[in-house]
Amino acid sequence: MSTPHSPSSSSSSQIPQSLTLAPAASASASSSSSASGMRDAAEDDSDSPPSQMSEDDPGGGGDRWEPDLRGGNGGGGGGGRWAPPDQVLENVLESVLEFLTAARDRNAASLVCRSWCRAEAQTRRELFIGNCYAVSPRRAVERFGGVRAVVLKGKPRFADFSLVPYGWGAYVSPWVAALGPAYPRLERICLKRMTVSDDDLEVVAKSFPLFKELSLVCCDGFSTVGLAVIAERCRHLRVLDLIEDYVEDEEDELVDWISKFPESNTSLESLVFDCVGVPFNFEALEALVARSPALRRLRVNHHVSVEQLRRLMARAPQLTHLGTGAFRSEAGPGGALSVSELATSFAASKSLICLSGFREVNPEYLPAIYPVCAKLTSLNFSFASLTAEELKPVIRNCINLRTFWVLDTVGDEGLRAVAETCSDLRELRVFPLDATEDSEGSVSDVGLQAISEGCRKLESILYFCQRMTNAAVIAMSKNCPNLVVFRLCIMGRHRPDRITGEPMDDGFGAIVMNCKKLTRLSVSGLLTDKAFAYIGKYGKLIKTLSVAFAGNSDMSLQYVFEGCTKLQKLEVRDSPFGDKGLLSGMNYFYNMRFLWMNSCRLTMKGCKEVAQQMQNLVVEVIKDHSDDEGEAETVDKLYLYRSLAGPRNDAPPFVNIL
Amino acid sequence: MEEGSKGGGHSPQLLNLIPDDTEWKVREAEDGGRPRNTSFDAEEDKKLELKLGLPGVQEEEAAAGPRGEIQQQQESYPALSLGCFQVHSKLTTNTASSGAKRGFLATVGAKPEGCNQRHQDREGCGNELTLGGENMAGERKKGCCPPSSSHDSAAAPVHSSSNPQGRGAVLPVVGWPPVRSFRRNLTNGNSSKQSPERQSDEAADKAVLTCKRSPLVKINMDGIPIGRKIDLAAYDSYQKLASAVEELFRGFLEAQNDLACTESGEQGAEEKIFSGLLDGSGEYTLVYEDNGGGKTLVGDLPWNVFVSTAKRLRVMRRSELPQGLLKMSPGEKQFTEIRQIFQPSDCASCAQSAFFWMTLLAYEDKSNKTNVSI
Repeated sequence: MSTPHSPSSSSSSQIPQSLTLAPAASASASSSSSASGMRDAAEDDSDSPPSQMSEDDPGGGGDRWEPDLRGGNGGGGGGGRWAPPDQVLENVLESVLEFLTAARDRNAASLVCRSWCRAEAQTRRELFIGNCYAVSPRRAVERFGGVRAVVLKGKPRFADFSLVPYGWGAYVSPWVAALGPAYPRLERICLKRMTVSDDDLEVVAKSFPLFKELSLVCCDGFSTVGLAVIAERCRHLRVLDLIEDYVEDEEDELVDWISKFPESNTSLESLVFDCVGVPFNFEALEALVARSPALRRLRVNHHVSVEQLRRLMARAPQLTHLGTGAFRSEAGPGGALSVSELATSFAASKSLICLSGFREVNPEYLPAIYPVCAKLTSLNFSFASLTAEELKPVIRNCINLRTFWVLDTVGDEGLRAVAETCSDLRELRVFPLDATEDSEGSVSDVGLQAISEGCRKLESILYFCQRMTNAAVIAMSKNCPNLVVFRLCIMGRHRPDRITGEPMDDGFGAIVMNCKKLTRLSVSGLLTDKAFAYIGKYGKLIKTLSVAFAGNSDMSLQYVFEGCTKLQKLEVRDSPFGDKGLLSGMNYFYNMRFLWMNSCRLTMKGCKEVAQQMQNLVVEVIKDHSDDEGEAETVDKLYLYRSLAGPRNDAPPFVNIL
Repeated sequence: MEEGSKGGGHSPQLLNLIPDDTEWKVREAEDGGRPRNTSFDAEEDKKLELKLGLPGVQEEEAAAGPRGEIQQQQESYPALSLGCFQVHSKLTTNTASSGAKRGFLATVGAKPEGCNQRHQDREGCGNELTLGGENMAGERKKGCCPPSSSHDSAAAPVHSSSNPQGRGAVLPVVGWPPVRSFRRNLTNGNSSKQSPERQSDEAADKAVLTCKRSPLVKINMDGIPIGRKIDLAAYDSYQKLASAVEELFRGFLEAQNDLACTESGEQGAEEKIFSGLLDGSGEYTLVYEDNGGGKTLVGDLPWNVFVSTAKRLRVMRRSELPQGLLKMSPGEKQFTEIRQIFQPSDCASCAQSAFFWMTLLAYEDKSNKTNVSI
């Protein structure tokens, strides 16, 4: 399917595109947008723990939905009023479409004609909405009749890093209010980066009698009060995954939510609450685990000691995914669990393939996991400040590891051990222990180079460091051609190649050139426009691009907009890009889910121009502080997205929708 | 070095792949003439500095600017920075933390909304620094205390040595490096090996733990449905706290006024709302709950006692502040629990506060001693 970018993408040498765009531009953009970019690559934004990625992986989950942006006739394919030409044909069509699961295919089918659109809408079971403000809840429920699962996303990803002011929005309330009456058979809700109140959870619990799965990822606004309602009232609950949420609780307002799971509920398959940092009723959890023979995934919070962990493991030897909690002993000296006792427990958990937790790890207990290491495919040590010496014996046992998360305390030396042992590794994340710009950083290009040589099947990497070289990045691009996600964060801004002093342009250039499957890229370090020329020229599959402290002119943005024809999400911060760069993307905004820019050089004038020319775009200018009443000429934060619903009505005063 | 030579081999190849190579070369030539500040024109640089920098930064920039002299810089600075750093690490923990405070306030002045969280996190570290000083290795200290204050600018060369672009003292910016806030506190966190002497001092241990557990204190305001969190350790006086509280809630209040379509031109009134937070003379009064759940008027106790005991803050309407029980106004969900108002004369709580205070003082004493001995 052709998109409007393709003609212009071939050359990167032309002069900047005219700033004024013909009105026709919007028409052409909207005509193609509904067909483009329907399916996302793995949505493993940010720091989701390993299993979340399998959750989110479209390969497994299948159908997703994105707003149909045909705008136009207001009816928007709502169907219903049009009598089908042939009822029989319609039925046949529906039966066939039942088997169509990929959202991309479904979106294509819905474009054939009205009757196909209707049939597709009636048979779509999972609604995926990548931006909760892109379509109104009413419109969504009017179009789709028999939805069983809803996936909704809210805030822009930079919210993870405190860049979206508190109270910005992404409230789930209007959605649950609309979904309740429309989908009595709804079974699954997955929310990401949304504000979810306890009341919302109560509405969920009351509205859907068959409700089975709730996943809240990076959400905030709720507390154990809401969790208690979910646990108590969703009698068929199978999955309750709370992942990296900010749970608002005070210790004196705690509700014993774990014990609210009714005795009759024996169908629990997954319970993840490591982000719910408050103490909980352990006995109730133990009883719950004991009566849940189907439980496969359990991640407890840091209040669980190894002694308690052992009790849980004894109750649930069938677990495949385990989050260990603290991984240290609570008992006093003498009474502590011995390492061999704990090792026995692990040895008995024959199904374990995924281990995480280790929130307050006592390294002495690490040998206890040796018995399961060889079977592990996923290991998350990203909260455990362990040295290379402590990690190496574990790593040496993990011969089948596919996903490994670790802190940079692992050092280049530890990474070398990973490279030597884990030849099957697909995903590596190295987080910083000390996440500051001037930290020393204990991994470098040396570790990256080693990984690239040892882990040739690598598909995804997130690497925080301070010292990097183009050579190491180039080596990775050659050694790991299957890379889909490459996120390198050189924490000190504007840092060049540590040896040559050159910008990092060639390294990132090599990545986009040699990794043909790359869909997600985060760049850092000293970068000139040249890097973006490479990205535009070669990054043809890139869907998500994150830029910080990079580039030297508006040309950077232009290269990206014109070259990266599959671009869905672009987030830029602290880069010298102004209105000219922004306007060069005018033709492409419709094809993108969003553009976020902060601390760049945008002015109100440029943003207004975009808003005026593009009718179905919402241009949000976010002020840092609500008290400068005068309309500032410079724009600190811009959040721009397509929407069928028009400007939202829940914007706080610091958000100015142009 | 081996990698270096490899890289040299690859880059020309890449260069050739861009068709309009010439443009780059021109640019590079330009840059070559000038000090190789590749990514920004001097002009642009200044612009940016206006946004990010401290007044002193420009000079620093000029001194450190030429990128062609990177190597030289790297050689010369470490010696310098070492000196600085030693000085830095000899400072008593107290100054270190108050330095960070100043930096925090300065930043708050500029961008309070949404930035607070991160700064609070950082300040959380700062606070821990004060309390757990003796456990801190130099590198931890450096990590916890961003170079955000005038005091720290002495250590700036350290940063620019590792940041050869020479952008001067790097002011921390919100959200960079891009790490979720719950990962930012890892340095304070879990590892026992980072604090080998931990068991040597139980009181210290306790202090560190309390600090660790709740660096942030929840704060609510009557009539505003959204609560916030605030880091008490980021302030050193009641007055500063009061102005921070004002920053936190003024936006909401304005928003509510907008919504309610009340008469405009009440900016002055808002000022008044917050003016009497501490002495109870205004419409709202700042009240806190201690560990036992009792309520006290903020300002009644010495600041240190307050910081170590406050569990939660409330900005209460005066009318809701009667002796006895709190009234719950309809629709205010926050106040689901009716709590007893703490009487300042309540002996138990006073004793408790005093205990905390004494522990704290005792601890500070010790940490100072250790620092001297270092």
